[in-house]
Amino acid sequence: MVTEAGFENFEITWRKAVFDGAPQSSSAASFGTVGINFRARKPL
Amino acid sequence: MTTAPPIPDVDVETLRCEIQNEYAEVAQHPDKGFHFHTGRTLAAILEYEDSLLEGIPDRAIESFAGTGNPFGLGEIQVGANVVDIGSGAGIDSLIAARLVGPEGRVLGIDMTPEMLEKAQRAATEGGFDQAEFRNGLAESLPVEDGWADVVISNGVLNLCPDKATAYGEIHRVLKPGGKLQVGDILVQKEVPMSAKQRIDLWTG
Repeated sequence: MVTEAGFENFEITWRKAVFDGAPQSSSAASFGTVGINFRARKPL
Repeated sequence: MTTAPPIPDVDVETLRCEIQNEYAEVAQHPDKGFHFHTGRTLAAILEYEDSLLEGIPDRAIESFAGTGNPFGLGEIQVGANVVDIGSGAGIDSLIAARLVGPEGRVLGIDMTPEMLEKAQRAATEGGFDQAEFRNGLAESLPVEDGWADVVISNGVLNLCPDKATAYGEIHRVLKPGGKLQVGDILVQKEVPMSAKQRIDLWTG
């Protein structure tokens, strides 16, 4: 979706189970949900 | 520009209302306990260096509810124009404001009035005149074409009903060569349509 929008150099640089241990239980774990960082660039 | 929902049988306005209600609670009752971590606890999990939080008012930090760290993805330069999509109580916008300095500008965009108010109070408290907060949607950003050097967002794009339009808007507001630096979520198992249609699962 990001590249389809016209971006280049898409890259996921980090991922982590950021919902583990949250005060209330979450549906996130059942879908294997992790937090990520990603970046991309609009072409010149 | 269309904002038609990509998921059948999900009412966009109901979804947005539920998301607003959730994040109004995060703004007003940050210690309530949510399906996600918040505040300084969350900032540590997301590997925000202590130096990033220096000078950021507690009211901006306590309601932090991101899922990543846009600041580990590239330098934000002095004098830059930055847009923060889903700025919440302002933590990332104010970090960006400190990084761009008085010659730069930061526009924080959010759809939750309680969060906008909290972010504006934090900006005033911290003396961040270069930060401004505007009511708006990711799918229809109140930002002119080609204004931004960098667009950041943290834990927000996954909540957008029309992600394709949101990315189109980000592309529109960025300068050529501009950068997108995002914290978000990734689901590693297939999500059935029946789950996508459950509005309660979008925030929980």
